[in-house]
Amino acid sequence: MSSLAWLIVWLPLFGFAHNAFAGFFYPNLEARKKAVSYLAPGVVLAAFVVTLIVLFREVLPAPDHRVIAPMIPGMSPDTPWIKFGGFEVDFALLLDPLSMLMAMIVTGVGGLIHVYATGYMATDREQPRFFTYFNLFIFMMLLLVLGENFLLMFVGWEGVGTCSYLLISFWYTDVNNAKAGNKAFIVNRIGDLGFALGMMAVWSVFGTLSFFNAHGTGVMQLAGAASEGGAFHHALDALGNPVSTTMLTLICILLFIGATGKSAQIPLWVWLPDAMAGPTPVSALIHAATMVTAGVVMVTRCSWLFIQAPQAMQIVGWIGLATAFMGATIGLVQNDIKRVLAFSTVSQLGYMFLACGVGNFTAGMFHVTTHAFFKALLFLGSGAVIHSMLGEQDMRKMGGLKQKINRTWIVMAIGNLAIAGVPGLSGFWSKDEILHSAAGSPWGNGIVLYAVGIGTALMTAFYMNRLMWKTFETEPRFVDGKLPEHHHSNFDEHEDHSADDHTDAHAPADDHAAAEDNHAHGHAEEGTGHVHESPPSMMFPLYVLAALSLVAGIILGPTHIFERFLEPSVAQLNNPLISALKPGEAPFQEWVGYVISGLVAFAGILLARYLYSQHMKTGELVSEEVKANNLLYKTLYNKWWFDAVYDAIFIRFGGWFADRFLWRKVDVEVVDGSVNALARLIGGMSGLFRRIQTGYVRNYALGILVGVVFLVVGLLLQWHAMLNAITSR
Amino acid sequence: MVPTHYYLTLSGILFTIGVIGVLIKRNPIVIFMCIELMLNAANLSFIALGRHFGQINGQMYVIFALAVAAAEVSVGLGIIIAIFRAKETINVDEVNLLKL
Repeated sequence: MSSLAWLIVWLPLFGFAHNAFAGFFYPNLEARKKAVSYLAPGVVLAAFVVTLIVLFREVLPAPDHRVIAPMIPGMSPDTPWIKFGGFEVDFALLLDPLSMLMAMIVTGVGGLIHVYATGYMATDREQPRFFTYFNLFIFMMLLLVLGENFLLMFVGWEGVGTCSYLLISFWYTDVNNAKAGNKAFIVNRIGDLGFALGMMAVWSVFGTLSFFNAHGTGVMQLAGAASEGGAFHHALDALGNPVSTTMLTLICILLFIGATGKSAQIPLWVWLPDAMAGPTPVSALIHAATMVTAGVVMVTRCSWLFIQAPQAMQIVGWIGLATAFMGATIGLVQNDIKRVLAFSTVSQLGYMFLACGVGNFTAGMFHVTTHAFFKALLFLGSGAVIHSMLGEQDMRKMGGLKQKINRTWIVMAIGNLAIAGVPGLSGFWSKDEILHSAAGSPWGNGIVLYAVGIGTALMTAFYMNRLMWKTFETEPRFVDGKLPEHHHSNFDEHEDHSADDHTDAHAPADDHAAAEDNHAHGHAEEGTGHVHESPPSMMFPLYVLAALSLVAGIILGPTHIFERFLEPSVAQLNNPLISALKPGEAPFQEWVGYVISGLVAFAGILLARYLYSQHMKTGELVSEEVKANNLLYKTLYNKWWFDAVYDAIFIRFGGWFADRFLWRKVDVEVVDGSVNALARLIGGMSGLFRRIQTGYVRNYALGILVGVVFLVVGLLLQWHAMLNAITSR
Repeated sequence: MVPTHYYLTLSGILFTIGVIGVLIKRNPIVIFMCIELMLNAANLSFIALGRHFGQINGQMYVIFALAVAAAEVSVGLGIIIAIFRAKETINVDEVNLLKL
């Protein structure tokens, strides 16, 4: 029985190739867009089906639930991809619960977002280019999560970064979008350097880059199998010597630097809010559900190393907590609907790292999973809102949408309750699990971690409900049917459309009737012209994700299905043979945590309800005067001055330093100066020596004569000295 | 019998005359003649020293030197003729092709 796993990876790549070269196959844009809109989601959903087949047919029956499958069908999984000297990297896929879970999220949630995007991008002339990048992203993400070794993971890691860059600046004619793409790419490079260095350190210590392989010599196997004699003892390196804690800590910190870049943690989180410049399906797929969780996946994959490096764990935990807190505070005051969700994502990613930091990697992955559902739902819902508002993203210009797009409101409300942590919904189970582990932190400070975590949960509930109230409940603050100032396309054609055409143009052909209905309905009530429900292709994924947000938590969490499923992939803190840390004990029972979490969630929701119901007219809690003068407000609104500080240090001072010192002094004067000085010296000397060559034979002859005279005189003197020495003896 | 150092002194004078001729003359024919003068100065000292030490080697070297000098002159004259054909002159100061 040969493995089918290769299909998971190659199907999206086939979709990518098809979409990229669609121009050759189809006679016109319409045919091309139609083909792409079926094939692009098709390959991803097919990959999802294959993932399920592989999971049930290959991974679950396997011993340890671990299968190493070749990337090319029929080849041996040991086939080297790169081999020189002692360096060998296999071209293989690692199928275990962790990678299968991520593959299911990437292809499942990703497939739904693809379906959604067929509706969202239907009117964009560059829709095939969009899906080209989208399919390529899925391929790279699958490579990242399924790769058998660090290097394949790194290829996927860089690949998703590239796709992220391409998709953030998808509407590149607006220079701000292009700048946002650059920012994401450059900030990620800094993190990637950490990952690359960590990878080199891993190789230099363990002599391999495999996570797990069939011979038991993968890094995680070496790290995990060190427990001889029934006591904890350090990971063994390639020569069988224990690896020092310092080295393990260094490796873990370097890898975590990579994770901070990709997963938007302090200090490298600044790119994620700007990444919202991309189309909304991109924000949902890449910057909420999948790519940004890659850091958590990588840390979890390396959990065998992390639990032997307690200091690295502490750093991960504190950074995660700080990021969670900071993201939530900034989310309280943002006006752009997608930016609120972006800061929410930063905050939730912080929770995931907090879970990893306190050693409960499973809880982190559980939050990755539930977050993928409800955050994708919220982003897609906000996309539906933006779509309804003809591209408006500013919540100050929304309001009162509850009646007009009721179905969108319902699914958004479910997502909102899920992320707020209302008991029973998926966000509650994963977040509470994390908070409970934080309270029982293995390296102390449990109460601090828990208090800040629960405070962040309160803010989460508040800012999400602020978003809901501003968008759906308060009174409308927009002129219906009026296009916002910026439009989402690289072409000007949209501006020429009348608003009527626009409504029709947004609906794909098969949704035409539905759009007409809305259209007619809109005219029946005065002034509600063009706010319309999204087409079915966009609503269907919302319903599925809403259902998952509702039930996934309660099915997977309290039943411990998720925990048991993931167990073979994740190092357990309570296994004294492989863990340098002792698991801590939370100072309260689990049900107490449930009650506190539930109360906090309701408190946040009710607080938002209480405050906003008093400001129905404006939808603003604080006056413009306060916004302009209050330092706390300004600090939060300006993202704790992170961008300002980075701008001052790296862009202005760095630019000045590079221009005035590195270029004008070091390069021009020192480097160029020394090269030019050498050239001048040689030129001057050759100018002198050139004069010797007169071209007159007699001058040369004179030279020979002088030389001969010197030789003869020298020889005579030497001879004379020899004679003297002999005679004086 | 004439003392050996007379021969050697004469040889030195002849050699010096040859060197000075090579250095100051512009006509290659004259330069050649001066080179021959230097060669013959060397031949003279070979013979004189051969006689002084009672050995035949000195005279043998002279025979060789004469043969080589003859061959060298024929080659040199050929070069001079080739230069004259190309440059319409044999003045060595105008034949400075190796100079930049």
